[in-house]
Amino acid sequence: MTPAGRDRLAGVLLGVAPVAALMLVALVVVGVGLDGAPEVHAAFLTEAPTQAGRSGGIAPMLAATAWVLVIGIGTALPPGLAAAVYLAEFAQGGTRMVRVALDVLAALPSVVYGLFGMAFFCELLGFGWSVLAGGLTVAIMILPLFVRLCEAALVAVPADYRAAGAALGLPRWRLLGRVLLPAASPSIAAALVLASGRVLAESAVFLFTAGASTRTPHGLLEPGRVLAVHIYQLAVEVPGGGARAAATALVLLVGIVATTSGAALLPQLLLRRTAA
Amino acid sequence: MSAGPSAVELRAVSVRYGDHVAVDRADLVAPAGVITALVGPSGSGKSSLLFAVNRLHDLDRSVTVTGDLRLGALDLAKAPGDALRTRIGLVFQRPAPFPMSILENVTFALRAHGAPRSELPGRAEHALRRAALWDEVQDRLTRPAASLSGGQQQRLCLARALALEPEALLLDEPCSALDPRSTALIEDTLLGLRGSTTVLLVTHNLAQARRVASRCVCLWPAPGGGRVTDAGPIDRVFEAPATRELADYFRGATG
Repeated sequence: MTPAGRDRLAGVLLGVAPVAALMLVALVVVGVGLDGAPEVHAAFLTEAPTQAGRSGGIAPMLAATAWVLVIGIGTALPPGLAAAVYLAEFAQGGTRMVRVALDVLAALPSVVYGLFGMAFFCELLGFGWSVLAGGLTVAIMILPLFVRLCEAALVAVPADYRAAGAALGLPRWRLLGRVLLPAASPSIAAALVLASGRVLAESAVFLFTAGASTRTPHGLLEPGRVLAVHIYQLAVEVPGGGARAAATALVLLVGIVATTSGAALLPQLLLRRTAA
Repeated sequence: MSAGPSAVELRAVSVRYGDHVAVDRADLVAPAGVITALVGPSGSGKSSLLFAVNRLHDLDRSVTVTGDLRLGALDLAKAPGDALRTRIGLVFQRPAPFPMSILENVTFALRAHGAPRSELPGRAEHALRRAALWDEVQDRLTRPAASLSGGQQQRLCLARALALEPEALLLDEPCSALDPRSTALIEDTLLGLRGSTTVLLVTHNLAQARRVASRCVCLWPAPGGGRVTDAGPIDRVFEAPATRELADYFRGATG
């Protein structure tokens, strides 16, 4: 076979992989869409569930999901960013074990975090099943991944900026705030959105910490059922709940696609801003 | 504002990267207000010696600098690094404007070092004029610095360093990636600094060294680290170099 022929063959074989991956995703979307789309309408998004979720809507679940998302991301962002800044810009050495620990924590099954959250937040701190306990637990869960992604974002900022800042006698915090963080902000934003996607898709943590109440949570210490838990409950524990589970999954899918699309678009928008 | 040019004097300065000696006991005098070229083959330690002057090596814990380094009467080893670098500017080989506007690139360090806000526009204009960039950017100061050409970006970095009105300016092959026109503009800027700023210019471009510098210091690579093998007025160094290797290097036979 000629070199050009080998190149063409390699191109075809390699091209099969992304197509196969896309087809698998499409299969899930089509399956969920076919089962769930007929159930999705305006009232589905604005009403509370009735008959254990076989009818009514998912408004309380949307509210609970919003609660844990805001608490989780809001809690993980400041320490996550601070840890990443320290690791990328200030740590002098001896941080290898910290990075290994973060990688191990990022790989832990979410059910482990759920058990910890139930023991620590729900029982020891007395939060009970609540969106606060759920949000704080999921914050701890996404923190290791968020730190590593933000650290990678900062490390990827051209070293020339640091050298130029040092040559101008700029204090490091000033260079950090005005040059390095803005330059890394597209990737940090992507990390944030990916972390949000992980929160949206999580169920085990919330089963242990936020509970499964179908009422709308009106405060931090009230329980709530997030979308992923609602899907689980309808599919496993409610006879005849399959269609509603698919409809809820479709809403969740749209939410996750929206956030991950944001992960793809936000960096470009921020890049335009930081270049300006 | 600048206190006027100060001489840079190095005595027995060595630079080590771990166990590797890059520069071995180098002596160098860059007289006040004069352009001094630092020439020599690759690996002779020119940039290492240059970065020792403004203590940029402080950022890398694997680097050790020993010897006596002075800016005028100031012992550089004892001066606070950040304050020192406002008195000794540095322009790198590769332009690295910050991801902000053209104007902010020039005023950023001024603001960080406490220059009154009211002075910023005037000082930025002055620095951009000195770097021969004002006429090209005066109507687009708020545009991103990244929108400038490579040559303009390097002149912006020069303006950024000059805005602090340093007593000495270090340049590490500032024109190596530039076209002849941009190179000429930077050389004109350097010539305009004579008398007001001490300039230490690392360059592989020997013709450039002769065009702009009054004095020359030659470094030569050696197993125990780069050593200064000749120094003096540039015409004397180029016409009667102290070693055969330098003579061959200047003729283009080596290096």
